[in-house]
Amino acid sequence: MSARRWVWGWAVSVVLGSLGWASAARAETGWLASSVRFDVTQRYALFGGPGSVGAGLQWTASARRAFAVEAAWNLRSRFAELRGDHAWQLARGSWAALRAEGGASLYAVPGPWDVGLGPHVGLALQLGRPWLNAQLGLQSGVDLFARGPGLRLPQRLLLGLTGAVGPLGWGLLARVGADLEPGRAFVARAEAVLLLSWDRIGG
Amino acid sequence: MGLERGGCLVLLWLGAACAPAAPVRGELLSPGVAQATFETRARHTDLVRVQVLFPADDSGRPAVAGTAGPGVVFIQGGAVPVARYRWQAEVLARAGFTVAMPEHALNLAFFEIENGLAALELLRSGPKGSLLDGRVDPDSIALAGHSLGGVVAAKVALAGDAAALVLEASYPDGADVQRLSRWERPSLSLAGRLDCSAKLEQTSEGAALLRSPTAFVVLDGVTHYQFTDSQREDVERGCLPELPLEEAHARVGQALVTFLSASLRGEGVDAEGLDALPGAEVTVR
Repeated sequence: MSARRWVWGWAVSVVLGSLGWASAARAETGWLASSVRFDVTQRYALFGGPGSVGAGLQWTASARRAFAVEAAWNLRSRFAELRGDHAWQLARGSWAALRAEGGASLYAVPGPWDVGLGPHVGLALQLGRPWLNAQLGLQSGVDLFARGPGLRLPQRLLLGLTGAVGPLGWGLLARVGADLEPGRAFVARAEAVLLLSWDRIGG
Repeated sequence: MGLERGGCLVLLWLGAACAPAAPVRGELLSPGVAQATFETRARHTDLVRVQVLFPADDSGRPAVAGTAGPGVVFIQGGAVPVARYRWQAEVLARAGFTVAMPEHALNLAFFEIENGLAALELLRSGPKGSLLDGRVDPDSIALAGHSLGGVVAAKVALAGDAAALVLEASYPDGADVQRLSRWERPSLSLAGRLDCSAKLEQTSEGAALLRSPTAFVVLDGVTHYQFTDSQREDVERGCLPELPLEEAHARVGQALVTFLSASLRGEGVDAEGLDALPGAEVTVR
């Protein structure tokens, strides 16, 4: 089997596995930041998967900086999450780009009520052209919760395909990894979403 | 002002709609035993479903009793649905125990050990007004688990300071051996002599790691999956039991009730009661 076929097979397996495994899903950093576009002035997005649904907004500050906010509702565990991210394009070639992300998540958990807050950072490689990109990234965060021993350290691998046709953008994004908690067993996490966006290009 | 009140009402509605389920009655499974589904939180954000079987009256409400009774948290075996252990929970509920069986993603408890702790906490402090409110004595709760669930049950018993431990066709994780050797609560290791998955040598070695007071009970003619509701997997792989399923269930149930009744009353492992089990080799330390 060629290396390319092996890589594609692996990537497809991870994405499908994520979809199947989504009952244990949680996403810690923004889906919009994971599919950020620096060539648009604004993006409005809806996303959803077996684990969560949500909506968000991205606005671009310059050719190398963008901001994104999004709200998500976790379907199975019934809690809300608000995420804000700042994305920087660190380097760009004709077929590849490197970006960094930093932001924070806010959790609102009903029954018994709990709230969580925490920063996260990410580094991602984007391969391709605006109409079709592959995304590969690493993300790490710290979540602090009001109740109980409150520290959680989410670690994620991001895999995805994104693209755009005119003002319409799309993305199939998956995130797999684990939550580490000091003194406790790690918890495997996975989630996949389909993202659809409407992009405003130019002033 | 109107806006604030509206906001509060929306928040109240969201809180009520999204809060975990806390039933006041269950569905009657058989005379004297009902089942209800609770939801509780683990790992801050995860909602964990817990099947609870309990002694009930004809309307599915908890049977009236003077004081809070004993409880058991049961952990499912690897890739075996919780429903396949309902027969065990029914036997225990009929004997007066309240049994909580937490569910796990992909039926793999090993990756969500906190679900067992969440179920233990649910029994210890049942939601106010629910059928668990004040029903279980927080100091009389045992952990039990089958196969891989036994490995997890031992971890939860250690982390949650349970009152007793039952390993069914199972043995502890090597990582827990040191802590288990210092754990002074009563334990029971229940094994099938014809088990082809958790072989007798393994369960025997595992039982030897448990500190006194402990009992190792080997049930003659019993296979691995006879601890569940069907022996299909055993038969398919040519691991044939010598005891009919109903008889195996009767002996497993009798061993569980004998041990748990004594251990959760602080009366050790009831060596005499276990010795009276038919077709069983019993070693008590």
